[in-house]
Amino acid sequence: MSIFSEENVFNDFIEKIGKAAQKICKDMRDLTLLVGDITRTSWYVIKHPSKLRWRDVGYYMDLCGSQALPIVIMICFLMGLILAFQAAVQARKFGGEIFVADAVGFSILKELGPLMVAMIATGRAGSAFAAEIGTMKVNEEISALETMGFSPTRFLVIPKLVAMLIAMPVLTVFGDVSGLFGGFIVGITMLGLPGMAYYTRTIAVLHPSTMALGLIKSIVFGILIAIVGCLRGFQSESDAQGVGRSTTSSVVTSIFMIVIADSVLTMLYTFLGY
Amino acid sequence: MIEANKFRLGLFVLIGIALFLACLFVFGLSDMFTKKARFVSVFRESVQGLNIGSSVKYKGVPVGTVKKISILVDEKLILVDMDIDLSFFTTGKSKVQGNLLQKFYQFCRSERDKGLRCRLEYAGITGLKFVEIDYFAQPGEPVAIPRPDYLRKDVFYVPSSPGVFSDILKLINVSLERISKIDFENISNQMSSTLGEMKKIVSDPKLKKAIEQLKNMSSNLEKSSESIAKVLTEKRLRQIFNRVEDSLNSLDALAKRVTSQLGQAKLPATSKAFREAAESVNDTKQMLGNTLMKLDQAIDALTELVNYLNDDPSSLLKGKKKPKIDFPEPQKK
Repeated sequence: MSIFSEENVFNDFIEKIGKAAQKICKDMRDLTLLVGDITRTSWYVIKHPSKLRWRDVGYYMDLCGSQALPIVIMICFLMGLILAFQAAVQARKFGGEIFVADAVGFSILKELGPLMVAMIATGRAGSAFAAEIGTMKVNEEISALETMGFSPTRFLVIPKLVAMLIAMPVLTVFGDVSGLFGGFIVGITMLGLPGMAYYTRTIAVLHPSTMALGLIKSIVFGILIAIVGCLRGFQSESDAQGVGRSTTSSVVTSIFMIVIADSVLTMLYTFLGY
Repeated sequence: MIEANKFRLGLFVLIGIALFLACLFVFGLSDMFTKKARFVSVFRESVQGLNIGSSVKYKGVPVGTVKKISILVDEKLILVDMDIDLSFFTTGKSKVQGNLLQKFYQFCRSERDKGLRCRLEYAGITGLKFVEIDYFAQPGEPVAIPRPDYLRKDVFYVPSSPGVFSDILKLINVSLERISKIDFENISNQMSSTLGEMKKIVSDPKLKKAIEQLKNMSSNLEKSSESIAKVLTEKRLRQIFNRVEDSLNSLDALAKRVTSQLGQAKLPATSKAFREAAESVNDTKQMLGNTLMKLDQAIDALTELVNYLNDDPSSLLKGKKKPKIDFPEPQKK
């Protein structure tokens, strides 16, 4: 019987589905375990803040926040510029150039600002977390920590999580402002709108809650990036290639999770009337 | 482990927080510190397109926003709450004495009596609406919807005025109602009979002949006008006008001269002399008549003499014969 027989192909297909389902179940189990461990450890850290490795928090904030600032500002500025260009082309047909300020303001603050910052943070921080923890796993440093009775979550995950919780909203604020500035540049140069008119329109349509909604999203994205990065690091196989695979996987999974979370939050905001 | 750059990190966090606070302030947190008045209005028409946050404008100046839209179930009316920013209203004085809000409400109350009303207006082609506050009613005009009794005391009630669109709809409805009352069938029958009559008139040969004549007349008129146009060229017309003008000028000068000469003529004296002269002419004429009569008699006598002499030249020497007396002959028996 040929290996390409109909029965073998069907069996392989079923086997692949089974393995994928098994992997998803394992991932879900690992994720649940990690989230449980993070919750337990977070409670401990809240009760004993001095037990948190604040120096590590600073390091990760510098790595994921201040070092990512130039790229975040540039990308969000260009995003605002592109968005305003596209909106201007459509708005011009109806003589509604001033509504470009609305389009840019709402899109950047509620959607694109947090999303673009999350994408950049995934590429920088998520991959770095996965690679770091994966390498430690290869070097059996995690096993050593466990052997000595230290919680790897408290030492390795919580500082990253806290750093992301602080750095992401701050980065998002920078991203929002630079995105709005990009739209402003298009408004006054390409559309010929008076700068004060564009500014007045922007502040007339935007509300503190608009910015707050975007910042809530960025916090959720930060938590996701940190957890997924650390999870993939812990799941890393004990060889160099395994670390590479876990790094790639952390980026892909983070982006996927961010998009899903963004959809859920957007729907939630809509249901709540924001 | 590599240490974080504390200065860079601190700068990042501090600038981020400062930007965040600045954004919150610019995007409306500053509104919390501004003094506001609460206006309330009630609309009978649909408020579709009006949302929470829609602009409230006083004579086109955006002075506030819509804060709440609710339905009065019993009256089937729409209640709209609006926040008005007092910083937009100024008296020109440096500082208003006393309670600013009370003074503002006092001002609004007097303006309401002068016809201050609010109306829904469209904000462009998107269908969104805003509330326009302006003098849509005449001073002293009664309000269409009186202030509901259960409104809070600390809010100011601005009566509403029907929007332009609702006015148009009302007008359309009235027009449609009136149109529906028109007896189109009767009109159509009348029109068809009129058209039949008109067709008869049009097909009448007399009318055709009249039209033909009219056509001829018009062609003649055209020819005449062409001839006139040929004769009366612009140059010619100008010459005529110039001559007319010259003539009028001459006439004017003549009239002036006549007037002046009449002035110099001493009319009463002249007329007296003229009358005397006329009388003397009359006497002369009478005398001349007598003379002529005598002359005529003389001529007659002379003619008689000449005839006599011609008949009897010897009479010049013998003298005039005695007239022969013819006696009547006796009648024979």
